[in-house]
Amino acid sequence: MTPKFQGVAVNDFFMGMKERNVAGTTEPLQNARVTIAGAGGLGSNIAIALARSGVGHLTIIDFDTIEMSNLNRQQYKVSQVGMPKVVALKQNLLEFNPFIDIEIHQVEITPDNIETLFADCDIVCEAFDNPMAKAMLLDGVTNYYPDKPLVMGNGMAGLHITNEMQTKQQLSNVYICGDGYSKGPEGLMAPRVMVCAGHEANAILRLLTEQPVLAE
Amino acid sequence: MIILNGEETANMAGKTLADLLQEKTDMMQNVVVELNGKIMHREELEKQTLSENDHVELISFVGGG
Repeated sequence: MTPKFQGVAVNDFFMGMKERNVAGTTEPLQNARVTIAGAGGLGSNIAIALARSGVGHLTIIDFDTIEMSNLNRQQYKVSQVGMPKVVALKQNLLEFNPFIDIEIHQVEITPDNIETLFADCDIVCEAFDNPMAKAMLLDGVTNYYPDKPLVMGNGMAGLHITNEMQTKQQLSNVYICGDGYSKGPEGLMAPRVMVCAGHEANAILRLLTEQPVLAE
Repeated sequence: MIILNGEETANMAGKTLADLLQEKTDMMQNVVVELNGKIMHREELEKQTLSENDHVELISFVGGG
């Protein structure tokens, strides 16, 4: 029997997706595995973009629970305050695309579990808030998985003009998105966080469809 | 002379990467060091000495996400 969700058959869903997705992307994305480190402003927006695009296997890692102060930019609802972010995000993602496989881990990422947590994915997506954690992940992922693409976010705070945000190639397989300077304490608001998340998600989709991230 | 984040920087050859970090940043935990296109892991910073014409990038992360 064809799998259905709320009366929608998987085939109808993918037909609808194919109508508007870039031609030829649906199949490669269906088989792709992306692991997202962090489910805050960046991670929740990136996950939604990837789920809507049809990335077939998402793993989301975050230790935190949802607070009121997250709702200004993170893709959660008032009704989800207090829930673990990974549980709420999975719930929300499955409403946008019920036909993908979503694995969640409510753990803190440390130098000791990086090797295990990122063993299975094609691409690592960094979506932390904490700069020390960003540095720790770059160090750890390039140590254990030097050939695995790593897409990161760095600098999306304040209300600075969005044109200052870019995707840059740092190493042969490390890409860093953002303005590189704006810091969290000046305030974080939905639009710039979403722009940075969009940069990261698009870089990931280009990698998964075998297009160079930074050349047309 | 070494090239630090694209700029010629004098009096660094012979020092360790840990010395360089100490001198150039007060947020060491937020910085990852790239030496000649390779990430240097934390435990290597004390041991690795800089040579003339080395290219060093200090990748500095800011908070927010």
